[in-house]
Amino acid sequence: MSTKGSLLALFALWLPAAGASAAPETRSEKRALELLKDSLEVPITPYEGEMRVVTRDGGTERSKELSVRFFPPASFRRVVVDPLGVPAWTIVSDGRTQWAFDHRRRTAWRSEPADPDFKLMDPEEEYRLMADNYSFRLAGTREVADRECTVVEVVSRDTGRLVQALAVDDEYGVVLERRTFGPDGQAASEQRFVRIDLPADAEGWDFSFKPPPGAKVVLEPRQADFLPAEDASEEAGTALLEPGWLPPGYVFESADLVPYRGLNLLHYRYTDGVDVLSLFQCPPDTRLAFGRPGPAPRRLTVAGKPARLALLSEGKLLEWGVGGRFVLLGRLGPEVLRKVAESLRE
Amino acid sequence: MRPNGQGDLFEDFVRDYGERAFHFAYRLCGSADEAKDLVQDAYCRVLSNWEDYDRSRPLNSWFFTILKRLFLDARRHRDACPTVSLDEKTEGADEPLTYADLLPGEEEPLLERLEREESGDLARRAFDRLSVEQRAVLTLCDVEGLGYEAISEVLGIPLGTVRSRVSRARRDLRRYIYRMGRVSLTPGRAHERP
Amino acid sequence: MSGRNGGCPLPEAWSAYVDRETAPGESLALRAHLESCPVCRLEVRAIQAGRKALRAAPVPAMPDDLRRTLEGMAARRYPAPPAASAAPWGLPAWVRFLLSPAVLAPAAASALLAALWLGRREPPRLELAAEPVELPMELVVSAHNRYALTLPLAPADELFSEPSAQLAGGSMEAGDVH
Repeated sequence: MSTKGSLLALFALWLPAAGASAAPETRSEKRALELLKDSLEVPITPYEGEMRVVTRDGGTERSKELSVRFFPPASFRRVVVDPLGVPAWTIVSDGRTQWAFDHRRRTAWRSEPADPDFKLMDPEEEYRLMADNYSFRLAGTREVADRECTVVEVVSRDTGRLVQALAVDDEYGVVLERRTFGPDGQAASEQRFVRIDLPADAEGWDFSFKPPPGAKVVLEPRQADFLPAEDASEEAGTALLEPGWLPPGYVFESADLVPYRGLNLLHYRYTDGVDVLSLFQCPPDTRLAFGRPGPAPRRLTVAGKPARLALLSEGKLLEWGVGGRFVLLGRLGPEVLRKVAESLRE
Repeated sequence: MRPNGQGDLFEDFVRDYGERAFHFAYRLCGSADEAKDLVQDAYCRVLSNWEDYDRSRPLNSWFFTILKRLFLDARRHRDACPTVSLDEKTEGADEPLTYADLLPGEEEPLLERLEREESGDLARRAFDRLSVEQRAVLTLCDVEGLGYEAISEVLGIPLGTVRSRVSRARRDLRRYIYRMGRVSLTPGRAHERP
Repeated sequence: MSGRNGGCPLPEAWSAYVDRETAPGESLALRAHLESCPVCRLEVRAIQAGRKALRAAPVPAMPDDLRRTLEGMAARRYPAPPAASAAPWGLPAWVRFLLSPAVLAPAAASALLAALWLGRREPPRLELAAEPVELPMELVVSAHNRYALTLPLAPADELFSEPSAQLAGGSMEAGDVH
């Protein structure tokens, strides 16, 4: 989580616009811009608090509570609790190794977080892509977790709609609230601190993890790859099928091979600088295990063939098969995903 | 004497670059046996395309191909490469690093001590804690002496990314050197970028 | 040249400066800054000390058997013509022929290459499974998130990684958000 510093260059793009668009209270707006700049750096101060995360799907709202500890530059501990306050998930990282423990299933996953430095798109290109597709504006102040925050809004240039709104702590520049919005302008998800100690006394904090006796341990020792398309094709020994159409602003970033029981899934990543669209090309005789756990999928068709669609926190997931199994995952509508799917070609 | 020059050329290639390829592979995975396997595989693949070699290009372009193959294979087989596990206790290595640890005036004597060390043992132990990707960029830059453009070609990454990766790998290496040998990082700043 | 912490350049700039990978204008500005900033001078010294220490770190010499194997690859692929008087006296011509390098070398080369090929670790390839294989949802979701969390506006510090289906849980009949 270290490449955000290059956003300094981005401020040169919208500082003049911010100054010209409103009648600023000069000192406070300048201070807010400085705070936002700092918010995109890794915080230098440890913090601890409780968060609430909510997702909305039409009339259905789901939420969870979690306690969070963070120690710079990249150590954290998050505990997701159930409605009775009993831990359901514990996620711990010391910046190099990450553990995710499901208390109910008594299963621990060990992995390494992807290192952003190894992406094919370097930070400058990434910020240019983001600035090409989105604009940023200041949107007043707000109190979150009893702290004064400045709100920055992210707006899609293509649709003109609000995509994200961040509430940035005025004193330490930490993002205390993040809201995402759907195409109807309604909030699709919220992550908000309800209480935070900032800075926190980090005496005795521990970011190690040892699976409890009897727990199943799943190791994911491999780092994610960031391969050019032709290298991925060569490694997989198969031709790539790529979309002939992508939503506006999305570009190919890199590919990866995801191993599973001797098989390889080809993973292509597309991004518009803020959101991600993943396309997985799976071996023909495979299928996704929907609903275990999770919701039952909705059935539909893609190119006249049966397909399945499910809603996840990451967006919508579409699975279908035309001479192979494919999966799309991203924050896009079902018809957009269907259009991408039906445009697949060699 | 070979009936054609291709065999001589390949022998020159082995003689001039074989040891460097082995050293690069060794630095990636830390094991001589693993490095041997990686180098053999890489050379075998290169040999299968040797007839396509354009003699107007320098041999080191094939060397870059070897390095790229070694890097990709080492990364894929990282499970077999010895890395330091979190469970291993390295004296001082896991002490929390705080920005208040460095006192004014403490930096220079510690840096002088690192500069005077001749064996490189501390650096090697710290290097072993880095990821394969970090070891690759530091070896290519600091040991092989490749420029950023050449590193970009070997690792298949953009030039700007090479610059940031080299910097980050150096900072992480210094952080481990500090923890292991109590040789400090550069003086505390208000912000330490990871 | 933008700076933080009182106007000092970013550590990345010093790293590139030591590698002589800065643009001419940038180099001049950095050099001028060094003259007046003891903190950055220490940064440069630390980078240089780290480089030197890394080069001094011991590595084993290339094993002799590896060198012989690599050199042998060329010899077998491009064998030398047989020597005129290589065959011992008294052997029939057909035996001398079988013992000649022209016959022995390709056979040995084939055996060597076969051994090398079989001993290689091939990357797993897309293969047809004997029966349909169920892929866990976590497999694709975590692969997606690993990349998504690296984007600048990803909710990096707050986002938890777990099978998100446990959170969403809703039914599609309620209507799509998008």
